[in-house]
Amino acid sequence: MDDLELQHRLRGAVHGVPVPPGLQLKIGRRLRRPPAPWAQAVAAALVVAMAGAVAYQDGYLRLTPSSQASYIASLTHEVNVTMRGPLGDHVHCAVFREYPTQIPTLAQLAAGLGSFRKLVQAVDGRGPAGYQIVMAHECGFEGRAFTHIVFKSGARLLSLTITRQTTPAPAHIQEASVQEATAQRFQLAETSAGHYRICVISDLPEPENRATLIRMAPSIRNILNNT
Amino acid sequence: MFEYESPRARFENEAMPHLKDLYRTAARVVGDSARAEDVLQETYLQAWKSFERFEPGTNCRAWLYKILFHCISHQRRKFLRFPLVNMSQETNQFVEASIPYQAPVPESLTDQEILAALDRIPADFRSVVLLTDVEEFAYKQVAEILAIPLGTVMSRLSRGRKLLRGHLANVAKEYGIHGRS
Repeated sequence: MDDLELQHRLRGAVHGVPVPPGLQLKIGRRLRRPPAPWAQAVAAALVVAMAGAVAYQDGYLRLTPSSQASYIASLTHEVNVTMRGPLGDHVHCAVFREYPTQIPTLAQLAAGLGSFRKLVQAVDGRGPAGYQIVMAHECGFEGRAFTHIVFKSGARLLSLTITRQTTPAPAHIQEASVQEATAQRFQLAETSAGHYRICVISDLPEPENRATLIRMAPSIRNILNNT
Repeated sequence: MFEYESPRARFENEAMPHLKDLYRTAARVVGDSARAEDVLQETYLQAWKSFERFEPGTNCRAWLYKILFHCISHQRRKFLRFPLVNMSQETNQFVEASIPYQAPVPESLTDQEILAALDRIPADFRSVVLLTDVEEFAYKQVAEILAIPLGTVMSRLSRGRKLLRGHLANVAKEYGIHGRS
């Protein structure tokens, strides 16, 4: 038998081997079979875990005081020293908070602000479109006292914080100067008013956040100067 | 008029006709029909998963064989750890050294005897012989399917054919088969 004949016989012998009946059907069924339920469950669990990790990093799902504190610490290191207090206060007081379904009246809100009660009336309606005041109180964060007004629109929050500063800024700087910073999803805009610093913190885009501060600042300065 | 063909229908039309050839090759390489079925199922699953990367109009059969040998190698290494049907290296070296280049092979051998001789040559050589002499792939395609250099294909084919002839001649001698060779 020469090489060609041997190849021919070999081909015939291999091709003569019977193929198990139903093999094509079996493979066809396997191809149409949806992924195993456990695989779907594992995939779903992975998606949930990843979404949870991302949400946790973004400050959501911080349910314990220590995890909230560590989140605030990680955030405040992204901004300069003067803005750390307002940012920390916004996250501590406004973000990690449950709000009552019934929004208090302006009078009830103003009652929480003591000598600055006129602020509520002054800034009401000067927030971004759709935002309304849901909380006003005096609070403290890391040893610094704040007058804090929170605006809310759906799930979005905006804080106005006012705190005393040791050295007043010169009057010509007060009017013009707006300092800004970004920390993760938060946008900060800050200006001076005599012995006070006024800060707006939100998750709005930078121009909108700044515009809110500029819109509120004159009436706030007016009240602060007369208090 | 343009007729839409779903990817699954296209896959079944292009890939399924090669199932029998793939099975027979798998069975000869892994030496067991149940394992060959497993490997073939895995091959078709892998092929279906990567079918979007298959370029229509190119050689679907060669593409499937490439996946088949990848699956055989993968399953052998990672999961099953099954040995490929082989004689010992020493025996093959002895056979190879003791046979003349064109060992006489009688025509009266049966298909079973030819297959038994094929199964006795080393799996690497057997794969090349199967792809070249049985499935009639070009050397270049065999090199691509097995992911080995062209020179290796040619040397394995030469040694595989020589070993096959040697084993067939020995079988014929054992059973006293004579005839035109």
